[in-house]
Amino acid sequence: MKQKPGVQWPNVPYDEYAARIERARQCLADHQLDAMILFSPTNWWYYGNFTDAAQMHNAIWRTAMIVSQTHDPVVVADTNFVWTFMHTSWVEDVRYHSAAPNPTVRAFTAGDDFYRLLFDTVRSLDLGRGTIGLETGADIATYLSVDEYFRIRDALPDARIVSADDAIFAQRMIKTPYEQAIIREGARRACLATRAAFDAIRPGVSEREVHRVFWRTAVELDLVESPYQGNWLCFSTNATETFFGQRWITGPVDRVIREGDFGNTDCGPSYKMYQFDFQRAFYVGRPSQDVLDWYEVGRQALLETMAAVKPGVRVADLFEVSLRAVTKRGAPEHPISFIGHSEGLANHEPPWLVAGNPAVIQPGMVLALEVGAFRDGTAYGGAMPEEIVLVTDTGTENLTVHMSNELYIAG
Amino acid sequence: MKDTVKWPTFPYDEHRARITRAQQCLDQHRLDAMLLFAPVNWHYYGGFHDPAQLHSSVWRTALLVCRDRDPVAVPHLGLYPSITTQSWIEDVRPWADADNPVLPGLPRAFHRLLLDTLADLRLDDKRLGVETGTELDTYLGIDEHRALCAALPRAEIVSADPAIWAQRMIKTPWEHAVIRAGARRACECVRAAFEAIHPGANERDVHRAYWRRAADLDMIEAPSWGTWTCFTTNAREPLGFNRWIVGPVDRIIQVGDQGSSDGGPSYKGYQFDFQRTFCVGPPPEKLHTYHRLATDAHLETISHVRPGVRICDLHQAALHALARRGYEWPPVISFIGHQEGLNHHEPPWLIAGETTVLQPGMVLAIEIGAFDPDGEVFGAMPEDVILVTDGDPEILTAHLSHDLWIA
Repeated sequence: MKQKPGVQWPNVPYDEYAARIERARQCLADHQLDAMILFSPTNWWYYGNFTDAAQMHNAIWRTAMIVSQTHDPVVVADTNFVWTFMHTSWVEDVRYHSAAPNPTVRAFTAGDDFYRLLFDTVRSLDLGRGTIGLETGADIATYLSVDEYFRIRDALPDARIVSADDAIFAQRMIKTPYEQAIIREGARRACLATRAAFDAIRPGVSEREVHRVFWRTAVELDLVESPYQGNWLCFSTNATETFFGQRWITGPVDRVIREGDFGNTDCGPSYKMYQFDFQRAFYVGRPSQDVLDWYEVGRQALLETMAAVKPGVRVADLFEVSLRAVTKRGAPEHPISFIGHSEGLANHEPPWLVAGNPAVIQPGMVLALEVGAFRDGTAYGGAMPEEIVLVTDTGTENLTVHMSNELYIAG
Repeated sequence: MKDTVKWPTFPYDEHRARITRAQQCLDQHRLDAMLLFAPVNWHYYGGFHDPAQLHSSVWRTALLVCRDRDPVAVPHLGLYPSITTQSWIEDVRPWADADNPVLPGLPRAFHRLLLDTLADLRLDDKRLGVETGTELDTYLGIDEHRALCAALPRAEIVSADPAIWAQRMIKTPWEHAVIRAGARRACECVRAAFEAIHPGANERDVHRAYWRRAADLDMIEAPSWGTWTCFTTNAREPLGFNRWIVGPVDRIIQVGDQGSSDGGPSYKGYQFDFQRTFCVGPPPEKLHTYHRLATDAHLETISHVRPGVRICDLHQAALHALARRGYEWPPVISFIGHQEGLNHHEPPWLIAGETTVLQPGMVLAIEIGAFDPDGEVFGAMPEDVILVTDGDPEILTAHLSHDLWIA
């Protein structure tokens, strides 16, 4: 591949792009794929450093990226992506389609129908009889629809259509040094935004006001861009008002915070497309010693688990470590099936840190570790602090260290 | 009416009306039920969402909207608190991926529970719709779709999309009120951003001004989607004047720049796609000319929006409105608009061959462009969010003038 001219505002440096494509070819070979056809804007961003700023999840502006073992990447794109490719992406071979009759538009289109152009392109790359991967699993947010999947299968009867997911995550689960730098900085900013929001929590304040403070800070820190998906959760709750005590995983509501509330933040904003899922907990007013003790059980169990994260450790073994860490402190077994997951361009990525997973932890992985200690039948359930850690050659670097994981006392 | 709903996403009457209408649409499309995996559809039919945007294999959830009975949610326990406190769905059958002390003893396998629920509802040999098309952002993956088809050999699994859009394209009065309020706020955000445009400012500063206002106006929530595109451009730059549909970059704004804002933020789940144009410093007369031409043609097209008008005829009216002003350069895109609501682009699209008839309650985006064929100036493509009423259309984005913004 050679560096194309005119890329004034590259989304990633050229060397990073070239290295990702080289690694993608290795992963395709490892998974016996000749190519993959990508419909997920997240994957477009990862492999082709372009995305769909307008999030046009619809029938009109179809676009797909072909990453193959033998050819440089090819994108079949709607003409409205032309400026994105000219100025921000290193992908050279872009074949535009448009049904618009405008002569200037037609001058640079290769066809007026996306699917015809896509299938012609696949055949022109000698992939018509190849093994082609598509995004088929639940872990990838893709524009590829069920109807479209069958259309592709029918149009390429001599090709073997399989899942590309394993090849994709084999690569994406190991973050490059370039990605690590972005994630490190983004995690620091996410901590600052969460800290600002916690500082706004006090009796009499609406839950929505806490959210406003978070997003205002996020804006100042460039954690809100186009496109972005916002999923910062921060819920205040009180065992006396909901029928089983704990609100959890909910958006903001018109609830006025009062003394004795407790709550949690989870997930987060995005920075340069990377997402940040980590948890912190707060208590409004003066917590009882019981609350503090149970929170500490969760926190210590998390720290003990984090200390066991090293290259070469199997996920299954890490899960066992976490289980012992909570049970030996008198807490029940985990209330959810996982103690974490990978994260990056999505806020939850495989491998999931679940019992029995034979995957081995490797340097460059970015993991969210969330080990909870909850107790039956109490007003305050416990805690599930969550940290984002980078796996290094010797252990971990805690990327969310910029906000204390101790229980935040608000008000 | 269930008594745990402390913070309803929408009122109970709205919930009942949507379910009644959904049952009519299912009947009209010969569906016994639809299995919904799109959070946007959970929101529309069930009043709950996935605020964490957990597009993953772990916390699977589905909503069953049935022709002959009330809806049933099969959520992961993680969504159970929000369904309990915000959704009117009464028949909720949660599952958990581990034994959870909050609700011990729940089923542990989502797909088994979903299949058992379908059998319990006697739907496992019926005609079931799922989200299959390109217009719906669903969590239903290809693998999951194939597994469902294999596990339900006696059912006929077809697309639910026509039944969904038949309903969602006609917004309810409750939705109109939300969209009206959101469109007003979206206008305020764009104005705040445009006021930040001046020579020497970074394009990212303009975006910050926009999102700052959006945060103040509750247009950033969880979950939310940010699609505001605002780009500055200049014909003197390499590959200059036609930057379009791009995210922000580190570009310093200068006198003579032109640009446009498009897309927008969301408000209570609803999205707002509309366009306005700006120029930095005194605009060339040619830009004025194209901007005026596009705006006049745009407003003339809007004046044709009436119940009973076919979309293809509206498309023709738009081309005619441009042509009779002497603008004959063929369009650069194939549509003159679309519907919008919980998605910023929804079907039916306003394209030449679309025979759907406009109906009261539809919310359209209309966008008619006139660009400079010589490339010396940008031109304009004003876009508005419009509510189709029984009488004159209501322009919901009238809170920001169509005039060329001179920064």
